[in-house]
Parts: sequence; structure tokens; C-alpha cells
Amino acid sequence: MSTARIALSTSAARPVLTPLVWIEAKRFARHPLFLAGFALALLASGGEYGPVELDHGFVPAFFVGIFGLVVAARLTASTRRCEAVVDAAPVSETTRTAALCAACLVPVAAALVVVVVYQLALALHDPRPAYVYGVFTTGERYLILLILPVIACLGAPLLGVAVGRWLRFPGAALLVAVALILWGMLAGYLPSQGMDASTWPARTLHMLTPYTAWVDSNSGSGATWVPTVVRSLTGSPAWFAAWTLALCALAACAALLHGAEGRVRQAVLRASWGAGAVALTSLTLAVVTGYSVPHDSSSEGTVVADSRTPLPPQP
Amino acid sequence: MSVVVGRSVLRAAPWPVLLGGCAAAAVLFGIAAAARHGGMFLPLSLLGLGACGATAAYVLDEDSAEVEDATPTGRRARVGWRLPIALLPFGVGSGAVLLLDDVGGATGWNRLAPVVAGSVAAGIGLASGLRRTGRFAPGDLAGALTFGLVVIVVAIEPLHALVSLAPLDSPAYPLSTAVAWALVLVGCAAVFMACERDPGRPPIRREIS
Repeated sequence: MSTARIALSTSAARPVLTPLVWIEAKRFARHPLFLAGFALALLASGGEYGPVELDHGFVPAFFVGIFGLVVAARLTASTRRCEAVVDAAPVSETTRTAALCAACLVPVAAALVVVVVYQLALALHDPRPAYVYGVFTTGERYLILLILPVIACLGAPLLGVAVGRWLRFPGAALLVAVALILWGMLAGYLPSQGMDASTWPARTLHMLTPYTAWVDSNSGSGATWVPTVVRSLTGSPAWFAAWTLALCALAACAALLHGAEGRVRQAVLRASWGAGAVALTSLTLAVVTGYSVPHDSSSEGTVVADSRTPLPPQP
Repeated sequence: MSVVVGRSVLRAAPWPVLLGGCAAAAVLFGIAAAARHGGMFLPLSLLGLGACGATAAYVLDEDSAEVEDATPTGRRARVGWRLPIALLPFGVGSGAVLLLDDVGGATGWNRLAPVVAGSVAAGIGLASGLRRTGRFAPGDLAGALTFGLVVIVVAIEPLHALVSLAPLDSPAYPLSTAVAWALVLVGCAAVFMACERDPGRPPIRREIS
């Protein structure tokens, strides 16, 4: 009996999943909130936005990622009214959740477009001086500019699917979105809050977030738009990418766990433990192997390690 | 409409979301006040302002509107009972801004009071616009849109070449800013009046005899 059921589930689930993924992806791509966020992200990336290129990741992470979280939660919760009918369909809740998780590739594609548009827009301007990239290597720059924003735009919608499945009160998605922003802001910008960034707790908290800042600068507005000092913050971008990917996997597992039964539930639980172990390992490595102290790179070409003073105001 | 019906309209309001939203906004402003010496003061206050606007977007949520529209309780009358609830997020936002002005030192945080009014108005305007499209509980969508719009408008200042919408640095409060926020309020009020008319009532036409 069980063999027959497994054979049915593996052979039947795939043909069902593919059309479901297409349907959910189309629903995601047509959602007005997603389209509004995507348009705003493109608008904010088309020009020479922001003084420090490495901070641009905030734009897709907020407009595509956070808006995507709300969209994913709404799409997931939209079937609640007709739950009785949907549950009668020969497709399990896990398959439907998996389709929603796969549809989160839509914001990933959108984020990719945004970061590429930003790079193209930058290419039209004069090349940036090297100091605005801080002490990061070329590989780390590409990670920060191209990969980390895209991962953020995958993780937030996946969390939205989990929120839509587990939290059933109105405003849940918005509450989680605000909490996520607050967490990212407080932990990511710890050095701006007067905390010594080179201490172990500060370095750990700086990485223990789904979105973190990599640079801080003394840029102002108007004539002082371009900074004279750029502070590279602590941590390893490569291991931070692994940590955020593991968080994405954990969010997907949390979503899939709702309504999962039998072997599927066991498999999802095993995957959750695996993702948790990867998350813990990569977080530790991001703190231990990354930059341990902040570095100040100035327009005069000097690099000061372990800078503990507040960023100087522009002359 | 009688007070009895008004009470039932008020009772049907999504109080957990409204109170939870106000509490979340208050917490954000509280953290902003606690971190007033760091660089997170303004961004956290912005999140608080956005939360006030998003909370206001839930005021008009009426899951049973389809049924209630068929009863002799006008939509405008029902909304009239609901609208004063928007004073709750407005009160939290403006009170917090005035408090931040006291603790924030030299910066004129009380200049953000029009932003609070604008975000609450935007939340209600967006919600009523979405209600007209058949979504009777548009709070989630309108709230997210309002939150995003408020944060963008104040943090990025997309119209800074024309007008500064959150003039914290300028020595005096610019007239153009006051005009801009007044326009937002009037625009949202117009959208609200247009969208919240009774759906069953045909437009009044004068017949030529």
C-alpha cells in the first residue's frame, strides 16, 4: 500500500507541480504590489543613486524583497476562503506550497534585472575611485553587488510563503516585514549606533541578520554627496551569502512543514536540520574568517585599520 | 443612522490589527528615542511613520461589506462611524513626533507632524480606492503600499528638486512643504469622498423637461 502511494506521489506530483508553478509565477508577476516595487527599484537604480555603490543592495532588498514578502504572503493566504474546495483537489498542500516557493524565483529574476540595470547605469558615468569600494576584493564586490541582493529577494518572499501558511491574523505579513527591516537596520548598521564594531558581540550581531550593511560613509547631500571617507565593516561576504542561503532554505522548510504528513514531513524536518546546521556553520565562519575590524578608506588614498572614531564630517 | 448601528459598526472594526499597529509604531518610535544618539534615529522614526499610515489603512476593512451594502445602512454613514478610529494612529504618530522633538535636541522633529497626517490620509485614501475595486478588506494591500510610499517619500525624497517633504535641515519650515502636504490631504479626501459613495445609488441627473 505504502509502496503504491509513494510510486503515485513521485510520478504524479511532478506533472502537477510544473503547471502549478507557472500559475503561481504568473500570479506573482502580475501582482500590483510586486509590479510597483519592481518599478520603484528600477527608478531608484536607473540614475546615479547613492554615493556608495556597495550600499545599493538595499534598493532591491527593500523594493523587491520586502514588497515580495507581502505579495507572497497574500498569494499564499488567498486560497484560505476556498480552502474546503482546494483541499478536495487531488494536490497536496505541500505540493501547492512547493509551487508557491518555486514562484519566488520571479522576484529573484526581478532583483537580477535591477542590479544589472544599476551596473549599466553606473557604466555610463565616470569610473568610481577605488576608495569607495573600501578594502573589499573584486570577488567580494561582485558578491555584495550582484549576489547578496538577489539572495535577499529570494529569502523575503520565501518567508512570506511561510507567514501566509502559519500566521492567520490580518496584518501578519506587514508586521513580519517591519520586524525584518528593524532587525536588518539595527544589526546591519551597528557601527552607526556607537557600538565598537570590532568586538565579538558586535561582529556576531552584524552577521546575525538576513540583510547587513558592508560600508558606512560620511556622504551628505548636495555638494557633499560623494563621501571622502568610506568605512568597510566587519565580516566575510562569501560566508554571509552561505548564511543567507541557508536562511532561505529554512524559510522554505518552514512553509513546507505546514500540512506535511508522513514521509514528506520527515523529509522536510531532515532538510530543516541540515539547513540549520549549514546556517550555524556559515554564520560562525562569516564572523571568524571575515574582516575583524573596520577599515577607513579615504579619498587621499590612506587606509586606517581598526578605526574606532566616528566618521569625520566632510570639509 | 442610530447609535446602536454605529456601535455595531465600530465593534466590527479590526481592533486587534489597529491596536497592534499602533503598538508597533509606538515601539518603533520608542527604539528611535532610545537610539537618538546613533545614526538610526531618523530611519527608525521613518518606520514608525510608515507604520502609522499602514495602520490607518486597516480602518476601513469591512469583510461583510457585501452584505451590509444590501441593508439600509449607507456606506458613507458606516464609514463616518469608522473614520474617527484613524485618530488613533494619527495620535500615536503626532504624539511620538512631538516627544522626539523634546528628546532629539536641536533637530525640528515636530516638522514631521504633517508627514504623520499625510501618511494616515494616504493609508485611508488608498484603502478607499481599493475598496471601490471590490476588495472589502484592503488593509493588507493598502497598508503595505502606504508603508512603502511613506518610507520612500521621506527617505529618498524623490521630489527634492521641487519640494522637500521632510525638511529637517532647513532653518524655517518651507511654505512649499506645507502646500505639498495640504495637496496630499485634499487629494486623499477627494479620493475618499468619490470612492465611498453608496454603490447602489445612481448618480443624480437633472432631467430636461
